[in-house]
Amino acid sequence: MLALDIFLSGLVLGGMYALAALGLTLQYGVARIMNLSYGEFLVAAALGSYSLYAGIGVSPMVGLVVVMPVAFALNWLIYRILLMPLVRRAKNRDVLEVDSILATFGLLFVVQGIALVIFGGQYYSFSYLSIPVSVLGSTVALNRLIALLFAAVIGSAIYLSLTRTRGGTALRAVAVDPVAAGLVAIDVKRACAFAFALGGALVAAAGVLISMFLTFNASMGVVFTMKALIVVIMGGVGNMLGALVAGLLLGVGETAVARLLDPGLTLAATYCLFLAVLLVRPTGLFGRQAR
Amino acid sequence: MLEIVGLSVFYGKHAALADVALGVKRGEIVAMLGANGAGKTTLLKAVAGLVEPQAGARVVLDGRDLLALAAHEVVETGVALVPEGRGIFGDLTVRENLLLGAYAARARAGERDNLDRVLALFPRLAERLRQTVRTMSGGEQQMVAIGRALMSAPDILLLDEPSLGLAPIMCTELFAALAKVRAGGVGLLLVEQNVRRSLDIADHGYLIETGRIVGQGTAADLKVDPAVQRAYLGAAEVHVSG
Amino acid sequence: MRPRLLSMLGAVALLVALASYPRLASSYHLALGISVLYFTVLATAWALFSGPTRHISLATVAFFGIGAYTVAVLGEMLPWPVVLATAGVIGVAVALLVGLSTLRLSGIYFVIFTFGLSELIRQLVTWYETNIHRSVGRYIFVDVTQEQIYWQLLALAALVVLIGWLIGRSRLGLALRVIGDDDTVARHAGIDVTRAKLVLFAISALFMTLTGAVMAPRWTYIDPAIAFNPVLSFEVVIMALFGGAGALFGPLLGAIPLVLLFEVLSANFPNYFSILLGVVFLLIVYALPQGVIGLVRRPDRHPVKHAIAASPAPLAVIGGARVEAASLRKAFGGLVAVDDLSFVAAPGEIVGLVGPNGSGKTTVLNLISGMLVPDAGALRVDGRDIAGLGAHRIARLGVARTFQLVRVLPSMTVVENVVVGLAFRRRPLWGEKAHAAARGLLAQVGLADKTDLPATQLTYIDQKRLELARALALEPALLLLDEWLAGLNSIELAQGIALIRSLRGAGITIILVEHVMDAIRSLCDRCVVMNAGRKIADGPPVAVLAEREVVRAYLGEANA
Repeated sequence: MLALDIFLSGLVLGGMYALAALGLTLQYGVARIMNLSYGEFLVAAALGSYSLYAGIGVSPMVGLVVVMPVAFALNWLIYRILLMPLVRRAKNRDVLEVDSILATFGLLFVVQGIALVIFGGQYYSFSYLSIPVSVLGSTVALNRLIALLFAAVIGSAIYLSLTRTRGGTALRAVAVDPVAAGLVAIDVKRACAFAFALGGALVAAAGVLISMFLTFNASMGVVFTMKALIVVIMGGVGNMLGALVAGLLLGVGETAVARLLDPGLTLAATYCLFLAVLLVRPTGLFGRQAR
Repeated sequence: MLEIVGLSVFYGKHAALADVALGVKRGEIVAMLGANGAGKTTLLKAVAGLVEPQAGARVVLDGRDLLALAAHEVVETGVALVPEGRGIFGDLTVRENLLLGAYAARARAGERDNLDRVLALFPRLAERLRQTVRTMSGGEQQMVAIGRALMSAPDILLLDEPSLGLAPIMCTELFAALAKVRAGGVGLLLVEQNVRRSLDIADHGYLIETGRIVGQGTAADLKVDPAVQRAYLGAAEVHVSG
Repeated sequence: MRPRLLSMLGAVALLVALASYPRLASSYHLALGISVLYFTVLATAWALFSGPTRHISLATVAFFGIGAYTVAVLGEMLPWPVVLATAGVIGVAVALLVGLSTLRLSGIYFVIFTFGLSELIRQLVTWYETNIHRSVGRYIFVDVTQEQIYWQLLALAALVVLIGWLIGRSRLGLALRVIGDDDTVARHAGIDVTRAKLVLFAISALFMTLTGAVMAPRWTYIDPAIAFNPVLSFEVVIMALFGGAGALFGPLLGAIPLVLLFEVLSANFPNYFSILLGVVFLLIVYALPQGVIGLVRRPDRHPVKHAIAASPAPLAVIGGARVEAASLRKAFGGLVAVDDLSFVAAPGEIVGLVGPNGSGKTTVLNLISGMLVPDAGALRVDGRDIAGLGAHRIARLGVARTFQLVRVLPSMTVVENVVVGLAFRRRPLWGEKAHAAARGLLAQVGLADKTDLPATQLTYIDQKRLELARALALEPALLLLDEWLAGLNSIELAQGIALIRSLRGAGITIILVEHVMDAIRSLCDRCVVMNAGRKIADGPPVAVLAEREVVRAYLGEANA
């Protein structure tokens, strides 16, 4: 059944988007960094996962265990070395947003350049566990299901730690009101660095999972960044549930457009959806009304 | 004991505070009175570490210099601020807000006990632990804000206009709660709009005008001092009619 | 006018010299010259919009590509000027579409949208080519020599610089500087912010599109990936920021060295070009100590004109407006800031709006000035319903205000701040007349000897006077003063009260929000007291301020 096909594929894709958006929510919502190089790290992780698989036969699922901590450390360093000077000198939030956009724009080219040097411009894909599985009368590849499962597990783990642990709640507090967070003894600077690093780990996870079933090359980062940004804003900045819903919506919508209309129009459809949501609800689907 | 000496704060060229000196002891309530724009909020912010004062000021808690510390470190020393506008985390629940209040290392051990104490002080909150704070009334939000500050087990509590926007009944509850907090051994520096009520529970008071202390005394003295009414309502003569 | 003539002659001479460059240069150097020129046009066009508004546009290549593709599609079918015109029209249309959808939202959404815009357009063009044209690449056989491309680019460069210069001297340029300094002040001075940004964005896009069209014949073969190469957007931003987006010739100064640098880099390290580009950019972002924004401020433009005497512009007696509020209501989430408020201010009256902190007074002013829209109730000025009109329309009706936290425009001098008030009101003044009138107003508020100082160098009370002068410049029928007397010592207070009292003669209706009660008693005909969003008293100050309920509102009740 076509509708079910679209729905299932869209769900898988949407799950990836939601995971990536969750990471960006941490980076933008807590650390207040609008990271334009976000998608490059997804692509880098995908390429890394490919190297591990094609080079030493390590399965992507094991690769996750390697890639995520590396991504965490790398992003933590990037925040401390590259972004903290901007945070320190920014007089207000708007200035920081613009500065961080420009700095991460530069970072985008550096990361993409490194990826191009190492991997060249060609497309990569590897089929790992692409065994067809029957779900509710429709056929889905096993690797996609596994990707969705992992994304759900990781996403839930993050969601639970953000809502159930002291540290996680502290991060959410920083996202709501950094000044008040300081008044309850939260070290806001350290919290922001941690959130940024965690976001980087999440997008790397999305990259590894996506590498299992999508074809990718070193230049695709920009498209993923855009989609992550769109999902975060559509869902309402800082709202995790919103990111989830918006991500799934985008995944299903995009798959529907690709199957029913034309795969070449997916980005146009994404943008139209984005604009439509923003014009009707400027703070996003679940966003808070600003005063 | 919290001691403030020679505190001046400038916003650009404008002196928001000029050479302010005062002291707050544990177990006493000190009221800060003055018209709006007089500098009361700036004073509290300077103590809490949110605003940089001019060099030469001294803000000391039991000998520890607070001016060298960042805001989150000030809380660790035992000075907690309940800011104007409450500063609560609107998207989080009451329980989360209160538990975050105990984030400071000094407060973690006593978290359970402090929570019980806060909920005993504000029974209304016990019924609404899972409610998102943004959806609560102003008075309830104020309780959450004060409760959260108390969770950090402070020695000195700074309050910026806690009765703002509160209905009279809530005010009564609020001031009763503040008196109980004092009874628990905490010192309070209270910036308040409601002059009468705050002088009813305060021990001492200071009157501040355009950034300078222009009067001080016991609460009893200030209650009948015409300068206080003049500061808020102007005019030399005061005849209440109606 | 000698210096002006001299510089014009100099410019013409420079143009002639530059125009003869192709005849003297080798083909390699000509290609280099073309590169410098096209980047100069793009970077200057970029800075035209992103400089003053501080909305970073990452869409340069979207418009460039539109221009190039228009030539690819129409180049052989229509005469060249028509092709260029068509490209321009398409580019402007897309710019207006993008602008209308996103400029009203906060700046960050604009940046994100432009970020993906070129990808979006590339996808759309690819789709069109694949499905309708049936072949993705196109050959361009338009017969244009390298020299002709050079001259067209030179003309575009001269034109964009000229337009940039003209805008800088025009009211639009002033509007943009104000918007860049303080969006709220811009709206309250009568500036239609959205329209200003839109016009500028369209002009910027037009130049980018034309550049793409002119450059297209350089490629014999073009496909969407070539035409919409995102590296171009990036390089343009680098050049503009490096040279200084706030100065007219900044992008040019940035383009020349960077074009040469990129030439060297891409020739010698082709594989590492992207990395090096990113590193160069990061260096630029970090080497600017005040952040990139600091470089994007326009320096002081107007030369000091001591010669202009102050015209003794006494405030024309235009009569005050009648203000009516009926059952006004405004809530923020669960908090009702203004609750069923009704009052009237008769023409020429000075009405004090008082009440304890949090009673809703500033919200009322914000509703009247158009900063906020009421949830319910009516607000009328001279019988005209103003609820929902934008702040700039209300300002043009003759409603001026000052702000609780003083908002002077930091990038301008004192006199320029006042000119802002004169330039966008319902009967605007501009040029020398405006300067003369501004000086007159400044004399009236006591700033006659400080007219050419940067506004940031004024003392607190002088900044308040400046804000008042700017508000008066609007020729208001209604003046809203938001705690204008706050934070003043007793001497300054006396001066301030005297100044406000002197406005009586002009017959302006004044509503002032205040905490300084002595001022209320001595200035106001009437006093409206608010508490918790509601009106609790209305009448002459001496009577009202002695009412028991008012005293209770301020000082609180004793414990029951």
